Amino acid sequence: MKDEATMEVQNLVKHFEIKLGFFKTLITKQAPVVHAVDNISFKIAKGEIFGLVGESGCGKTTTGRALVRLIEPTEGKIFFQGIDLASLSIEREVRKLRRKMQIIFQDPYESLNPRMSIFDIIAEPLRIQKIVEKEEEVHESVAKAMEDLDLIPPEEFMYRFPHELSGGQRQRVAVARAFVLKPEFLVADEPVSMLDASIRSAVLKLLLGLQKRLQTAFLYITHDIAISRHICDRIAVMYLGKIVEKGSTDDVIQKPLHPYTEALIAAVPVPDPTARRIEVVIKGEVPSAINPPPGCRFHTRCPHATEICRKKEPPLLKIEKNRYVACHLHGSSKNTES
Amino acid sequence: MSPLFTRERRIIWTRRIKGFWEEFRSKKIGLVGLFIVLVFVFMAIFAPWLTPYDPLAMERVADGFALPQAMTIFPQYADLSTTRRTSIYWEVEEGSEFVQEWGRNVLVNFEAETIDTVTVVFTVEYPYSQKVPPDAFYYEFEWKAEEVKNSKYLLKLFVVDPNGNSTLIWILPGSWRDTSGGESVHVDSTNWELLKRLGLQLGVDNLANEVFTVEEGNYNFILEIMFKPKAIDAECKIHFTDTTFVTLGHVHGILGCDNAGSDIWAQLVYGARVSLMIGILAAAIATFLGITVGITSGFVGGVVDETLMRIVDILLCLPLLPLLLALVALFGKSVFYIVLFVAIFGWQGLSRVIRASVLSLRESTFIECAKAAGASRFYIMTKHLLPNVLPIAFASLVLSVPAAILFEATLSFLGFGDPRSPTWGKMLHHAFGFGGFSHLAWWWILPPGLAITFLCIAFVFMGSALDEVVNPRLRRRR
Amino acid sequence: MEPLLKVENLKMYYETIRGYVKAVDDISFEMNKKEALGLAGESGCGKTSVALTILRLLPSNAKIVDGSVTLADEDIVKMSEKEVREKIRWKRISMIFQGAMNALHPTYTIGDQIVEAIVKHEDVSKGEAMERAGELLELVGMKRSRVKRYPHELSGGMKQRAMTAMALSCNPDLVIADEPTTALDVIVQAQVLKVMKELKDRLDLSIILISHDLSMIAETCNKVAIMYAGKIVEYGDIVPIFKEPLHPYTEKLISAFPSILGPKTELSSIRGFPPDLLQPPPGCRFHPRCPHATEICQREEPLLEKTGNEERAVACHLYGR
Repeated sequence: MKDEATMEVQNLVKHFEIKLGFFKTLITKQAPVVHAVDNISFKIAKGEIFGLVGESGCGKTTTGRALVRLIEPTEGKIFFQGIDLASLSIEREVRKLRRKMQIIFQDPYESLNPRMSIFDIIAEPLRIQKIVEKEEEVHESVAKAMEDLDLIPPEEFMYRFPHELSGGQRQRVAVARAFVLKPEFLVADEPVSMLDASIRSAVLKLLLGLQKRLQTAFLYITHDIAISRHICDRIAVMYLGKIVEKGSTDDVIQKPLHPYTEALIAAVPVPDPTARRIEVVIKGEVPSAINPPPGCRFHTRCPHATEICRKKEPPLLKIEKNRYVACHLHGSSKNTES
Repeated sequence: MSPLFTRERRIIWTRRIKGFWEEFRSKKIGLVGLFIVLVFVFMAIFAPWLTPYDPLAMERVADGFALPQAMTIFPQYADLSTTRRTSIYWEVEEGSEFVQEWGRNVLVNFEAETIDTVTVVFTVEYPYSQKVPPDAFYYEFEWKAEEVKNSKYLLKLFVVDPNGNSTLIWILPGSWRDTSGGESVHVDSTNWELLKRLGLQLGVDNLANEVFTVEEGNYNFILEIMFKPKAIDAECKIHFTDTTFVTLGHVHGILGCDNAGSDIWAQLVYGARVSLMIGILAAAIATFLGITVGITSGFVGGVVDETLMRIVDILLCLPLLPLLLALVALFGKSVFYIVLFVAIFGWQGLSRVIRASVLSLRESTFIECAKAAGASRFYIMTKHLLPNVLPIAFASLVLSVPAAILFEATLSFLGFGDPRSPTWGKMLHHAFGFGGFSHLAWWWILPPGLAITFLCIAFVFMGSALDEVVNPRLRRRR
Repeated sequence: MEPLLKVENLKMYYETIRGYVKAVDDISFEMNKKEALGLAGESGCGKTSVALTILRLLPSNAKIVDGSVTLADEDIVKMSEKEVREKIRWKRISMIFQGAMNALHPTYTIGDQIVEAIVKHEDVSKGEAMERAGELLELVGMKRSRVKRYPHELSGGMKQRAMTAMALSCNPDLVIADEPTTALDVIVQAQVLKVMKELKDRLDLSIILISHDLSMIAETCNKVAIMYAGKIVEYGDIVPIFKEPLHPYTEKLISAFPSILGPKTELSSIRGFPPDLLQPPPGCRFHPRCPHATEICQREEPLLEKTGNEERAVACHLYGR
């Protein structure tokens, strides 16, 4: 029996329409569109940690939100445990699926309702999903979730409000809330980037421990490629709405193929003053997603850009088993991936 | 789903309230406001104990425009006295053979022996000491004539001053009578009918001044009952009850009296009830409407939002006071209608503010998390948006109470208030209309005005302290 | 060589209703010309407070309790506000604030804002100042024509560079950069840091770089002071500190930053929470979280003492006396 991927994304596209002023809509023929995500595909297996790496504006956050259906995709298919999410229209069915998919956001200050107690925050998914009926059971589940996240003793924290907790504690509450339903798929959007460095790995360890125990398929979104190296099994590098490289973490980081991946790795600072770094000269900044450059979207900044890069968009090609790159430099194709 | 009184709920709510109180407590100005409001609340609740008078009964407790009693510390008012009330215990002086009862109730049983006129006189000593004579007095009693046979009777009341000068203060209407009868007498010395009967001129003579010419000394009340038998077997029974004599003072109570002699302190104290009730009720209804519209409009958006906001725009453009006057004229002067109208025109501003707040809140990640967990729109509005919006709404509620109170006061002052409610606005209306201003009766004008002012200021203080509590909480980080 | 800036036993406390928050507690370090000092530490350790104290940009409830900040024989702490404003701020020491990108005035062009900074501190005409503004933008790697742009027309990285240009507008000797690259993408961050390094060499500039990101400090600075709870726990040249961290906190902090190169090491974390600066722990402030804490660590505060013969100091009982 083929091991069905927990989450499979096929040709996902998300465009946001920009609202113009009254007169501009009369003048321009077509409303400008932000090409946030443009035709990406990937799979995440059960228990696997898949990293989506890229800089701000590359579309990784939008992808994460689309997978938990906080945003509706413009085109493309999302399969969760074989079920096409777009085919579900009845509220009740969608709600049942929501029980199995959860999301953790970046900002520990914003993702908790400041007026709710910690107890209510963690208990909320249970109450919304009407899983637990009696209050004693709710108390038990919440206490257990808090213990899993090292918020002990639970009674000490349950009755507090978010503003009384530190950043690290709040993020642990967010994680506890995500796991209280024992989800089968989890999206984490930069879960530790707003925390102090010395706390990050504590929170990550707890998070990963739970993920491993429940074998949750995990999409880890980050701009910090160094952290993805330590956590993810496979990563995909995104640029301006497209996946430019995909493969196992070790492969991609130790042997980057796409010039953008190279630049990214070269630009990341390393806590070692003696490390000899290659200065990769990347000019300029990320172009606007409203009018992405024609051809290969990275060609405006790529040191190896050629004529064909300006004209034709390189498809994401399979180079070897489990290794894909979208670059004309690595053009020879065995077969096109989807 | 979640029972209301679990242990968790209790602990969480206790912490919430404690936290709020800690913050509010640190704003001194809010505490000042709260204190003043509590004073008025105390006044409103304990009104029946704070004053023995009922403002709606409009009892005449002292002379018109009586000053507050405390004014006697000033030399020019030191000689003014308060209302004096005496119960008269009649003592027989003449004709005791016919008297069967005396004291509070007098019973004279007349049986003729001759056909001579018989006079039965009762007298009571009245020690009097007032530097400034009263300008008015009144007395009460009941008289009954029974078993009248062949005789005529006449009743008179005199007051004799220490020098022996006697002044008639009451005579049986119509002079001698020969039939049974009786009436309950409550006569004010300024009553024009009485003055006419006594032969005095209204507006020129003051009966009280005529009576009490000597400052100090023992006056005497004299009750004269005269019998004129027409035949030998003439009989007559006269029953004269409990008599009370009241000289109306020139000073009275805590705040003196209005033009009709009604106690002003009572009106003020009972007025607090109405002002507080109207203010808080109208503000509460308006706030409720504002929250509902604001949250729905902000969160649901689209056509609903547009429609609601246009309604708000239209309502905001209507001229409030003229409309209120017209509505009151149409529907009647009732406290209930006033509350309703003020509420209907008071929610628009809040709904805008809340809508703005909701517009930014709905993008928060905690709401996205709730959505990701499967929350319905109604759930998000009630469990997430509402609690976050409540602090602003609460501050707004407190700040809108003064507006409601002022509206009611304005309406009452203009004469459109509920005639059955003793409100401060009504006091000012009467003061304006019945000579309070021309008499410079500051004790009538200032108390309601100041009361309105202080109550409104108090709510503004509390509201502004609440505002401070509400906002930094959102700003506080790390 | 005489140091450019000498900070000695600096103490600055914030007065709050609950007591004194000891934000800067006995800080000492030196800066020479053309040096980049990294002030590293986590949130709340006092590094921004040190910068604000040096520039005397403190709120009304802050008090400099002790210590001196000597810049070329003059003690900034003892100067009057007027003197600091006229002589020191922006002319000799300038600062790029945290979240600088949002510190630009939205309704003025960046050219105008740089001109304002120049004209307020130097006796120069507006025309000349605008010339200088253009030069400064080129200096930080932007096109001169961008002088006419409004902040909202610039990207994050460009705004940061504009702020840098503004900080350099009066040719200061020392620039303090507080978290200059938060909210910037990795590649843009590399560009901005490259510019800073170049400027340091070209203009004989000294830089104090405040950051919680040790990797960034490792790449850019040549000296580092690790701060914890208002104190400096380790201080010295960058290479020896990273190769052989002495203080347990330094060690843990370095290994909390994952490296993209080299073997995959275990990410470390430090148990416990950062201390309350109102009532810091007695003795060594780090002892509740330190894996090597001993009895003396709970009683006595370790002093920052030189060790070895290089420019290196550490405050820890493990290396005392």
